[in-house]
Order: sequence, then structure tokens, then C-alpha cells
Amino acid sequence: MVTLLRKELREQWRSNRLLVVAAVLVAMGILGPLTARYMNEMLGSIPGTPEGLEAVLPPPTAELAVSELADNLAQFGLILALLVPMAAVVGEKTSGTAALTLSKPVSRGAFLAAKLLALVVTFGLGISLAVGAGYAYTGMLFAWLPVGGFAQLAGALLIYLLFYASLALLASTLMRSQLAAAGLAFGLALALGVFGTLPAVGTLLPSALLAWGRSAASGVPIELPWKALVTASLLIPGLWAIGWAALRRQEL
Amino acid sequence: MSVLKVEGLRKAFRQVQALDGLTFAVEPGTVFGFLGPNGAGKTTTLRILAGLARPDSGTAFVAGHPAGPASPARRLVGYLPEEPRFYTWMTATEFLRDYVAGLFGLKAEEARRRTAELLSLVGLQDAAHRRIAGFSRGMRQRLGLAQALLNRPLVVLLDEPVSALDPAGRRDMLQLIEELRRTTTVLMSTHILDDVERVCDSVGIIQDGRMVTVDERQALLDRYATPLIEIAFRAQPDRVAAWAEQVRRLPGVASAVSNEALVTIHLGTDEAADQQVLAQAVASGMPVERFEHGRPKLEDVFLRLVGQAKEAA
Repeated sequence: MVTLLRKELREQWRSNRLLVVAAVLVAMGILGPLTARYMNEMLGSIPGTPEGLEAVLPPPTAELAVSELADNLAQFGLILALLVPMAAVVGEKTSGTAALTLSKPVSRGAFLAAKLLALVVTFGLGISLAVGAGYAYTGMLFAWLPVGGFAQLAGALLIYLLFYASLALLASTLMRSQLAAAGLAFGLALALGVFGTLPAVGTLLPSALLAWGRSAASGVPIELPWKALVTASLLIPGLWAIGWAALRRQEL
Repeated sequence: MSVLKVEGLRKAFRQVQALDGLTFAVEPGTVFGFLGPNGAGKTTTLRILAGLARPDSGTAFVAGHPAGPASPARRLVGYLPEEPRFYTWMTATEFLRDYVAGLFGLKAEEARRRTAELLSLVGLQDAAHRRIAGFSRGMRQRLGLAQALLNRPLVVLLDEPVSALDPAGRRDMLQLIEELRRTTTVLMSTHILDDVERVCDSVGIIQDGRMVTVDERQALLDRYATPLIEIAFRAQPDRVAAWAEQVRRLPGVASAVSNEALVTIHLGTDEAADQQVLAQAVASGMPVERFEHGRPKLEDVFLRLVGQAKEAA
């Protein structure tokens, strides 16, 4: 298991995936507070901007910066969470490296678990750096908010992104091509987005954690959405378990 | 006790019956040639033995353990697929020492020593720290053999190990396989008969998922290979071809094929037939440059047995 995890992490590093994920998330983390701070001024400096537009735009505040930060990381992070694991299993199956590895005394569960853990590390690092950058820029441009709140936001974002990364990993395990895996992952994410608009379903999905994280980072904590946390805590290992059950039956 | 035992394996891929009651055994310390035409079921058998596929019915045993995706047999097996694929961003050393050795749970010192030994054995010591992405096909095949040997396996499964190599690469690889006999048991699938003749002690011929015959190589040749005569004339090819046609009709002659001025004649079981052929050659009036008894080849056995199996089907 340690060997498999080390290989996954080394691969994330050598293929620049770790760097790309971290760079994109950090850029989004910085862009949130910057946009909140300078959007009104930028619009005002553009010739032809309708008069009074600035008045209807929200005033630049630390809360707005946190909101922009959380939205940016959730949106771009979601795309990365669906793209990064897309080839993780199906790519190894089609290239033949999975057969070489699994002819050794390695369990298929460990093979899949190493990939999930590598995603935890990649997104954990990326989100930590991005929220850290966002915290610093919010502090420099607006006010220094409590660090604990930003840590909660980082936790919420990580759980949210890991849920979708697990979904993409499952798609990669079930499908026979990367394209099909991508299609299934995006399709499932879209379906969850649609169902998530139903209040009864929305409170159960990991996305409900984002509002809690955002509020905590803004310094106005709200009650932790336990149901969403429990759902995510069950679904992430649950998706891995479904993938494991499928991989056990597959021939390589 | 047989180190590999395959009993009544059946495996179908939709309408195609890849294995149809395949049964054979491999004795320890031998190089077993698993011979068959393309699509005969060789790769499927090896994948089952390596724990990558499951049979529909029947069992394959490695040292008494049933083979399978979760079987302890995988500790005892080294497997080289037909086209081994690697993480090409790794170096050869990283792949063997850090990855494959880790999967087998080798200690760091043992992993380092074994990696150096194997890289030297397969002649890749100079490329030890090069990325696999830059390796030629032959180098990848040699690295594939090294990874299959890393755990000092009881059995090495080699799927067409030389079919993609150039003549020099083939020679080197066959030499390595020959040397393995001293330390392990080898099951080598191939459709190249010369390779089997060169390195294998025992041969199993598979056709349409069934074992046509299994025996020691020499016993197989003695049993099935028909005597062979080659006659080289100094004459026009059309005259030689006409003579070959005439000889083909002689009793005791199984076939006579001319190629330019050379005629290759396969005899049946009648030992006196060669005298008749010689007499016919002299009587033809064409100058005979060479008349010799050829060495029976495994190719003859293979073609004969596979042909019979096809007819029977």
C-alpha cells in the first residue's frame, strides 16, 4: 500500500498534476479577494460603463472577498476534481500498467485506495495553499479575519472536492475509455447539481458544507450541516467501495 | 510434483471459446514451450495463471495454490506480458527497486541488491537511471523480464517474449531464458517454432483452446517428425518441379516440394522409401549436387498436429 501510494504521489509530481492543481487553485484563491476589492474600480475605469452600475454592485467588503474566494475554489476545484482522476484507473487498464501491477501480490482495494489517498493529498495541498493565499490577500486588502474560520472553509472545500473526485474515480474504474469515464463523471455531477436544487436533497449533499465554511471564514459562524457531513463521510468511502467491488470482478 | 497444473480450463469471450477444457502440467526446473497458432488460447491461459483473469470452469494451480486475482500464488509467479507496459516517467531503477520490489515487500537493501543484479543480468546496467520513456522495444522487453524475476519466482510466465524483437534481441533474450532453467521453471508461450526448439525441454501444442499434445521436445520429435530428404539438382527448375511431382506419387512419400533446384521430401513410415527416392533421382538423368537426410523439425510436428486437430474439429 505504501509503495502504491508513493508511486501515485510521485506520478502526481512528475506529471505536474500536483503543480497544476495547486497553481490553478492558488490563482483562484488570490483572484477572489482581488476581484472583490477592485471590481468596482475596474468597471468604473472602463469607458462606456453605464452610469450608476457601481451603485448596484455590492460594496467591497471582507465578506464579499470570502464569498468570491469560496465560489472560485468550488467552481474551478470541481472541474479539476472531475478531470484529474478521470484517467486514474481506466488509463492504467488500457495502457497495460494495471495488469503488470496487479499480477503482483497487491490487492485491488489497495490499488484503488492509493489513488484515492493521492487525490486527498493533491487536493488537500492545493486547497490549503489556495485558502492560505486567499486569507493573506483578504487580510491585506480588507481585514484580518479569524484563521480558524478559513481552516473550516478549507475543510468544507476539501470534503466537497473529494466527493466529486471519488465520483470521477469510480467512473474511471467502471468505464473502458477515458472519454466514457469523463462523460459519466460529468453526467453524474450534473445530475447531482440538478437534484441538489431540491431543498430536501440539497441539505444532504456535500455542497451544503460550502455555506457553512463560507460563513465561518467571514466570521459569522452558522450551525454545521451535520447531515451533509455524514452523507459525505459515507459517500466518499462508499464510492471507493463500489469501485473496489467492480474492479475485483474485472479482468485485465 | 508439478509446479504448474492446469485442469479442464474453459473460458469463453462472448461467442469465442478461447479455452476448451485445457489440461496440462509443467514439471519443476524445465522450460516449457507453450506452442500454438495466434488465437489458440495461449495468452488467456497465461493471464489466468498470473491471476489477471478467471476461468469459466476448471482450475489452474501454481505450486498447489489455485491461481486467481487474490491468490497467494501471485507471490510465486513472475509474469511478462507480450508487450510489457511501464510507468514511463520512472527510471529502470525506480521501477524495479522502488516499485516492483516494494510490491513484493522486499527490504531496502535486498531491493537494491536484486535490482543491480537483474539490471546486469538483462544488460541494462548502463540505462539504469534513464527514463523508461526513452527505451527501445528490446530494452523494454528486457526490463519486463527483470521485473518478472525480481521476486525469485518459482515459475516465470513469458508471453511471446521474443516475437517483437529483432534478431539480435531475440538471440539475447533466448539466451537469458535458457539460463533461467538453472534457477526457476519457465512457461513460455510462442508461435515461433525455432525458439521452442532452441530453449524448451518440454512442449505443449495448443489449438482452439485444447491441448493437442504434451511431451518432452525430443520425444515429440521422435514420435511425430517424419524423416526428411533434401535433394539439390543442377537442372532447370521446371524439370526439377516435374520430377518432384513424379516422386510425390511414390509409395512411402508423404510430400515433395520443389523450390528452384531444391526438392524437400517428407517420407512416411516406410524406411525403404529413401532408397526409392535416391534411385529415382539417379534415374532422372539430372546431375545431383546434394542428397542428404534432413533433421526432423518441430515445425513439421506442429504443422502436422495442428492440421490433424483442425481436421478433427
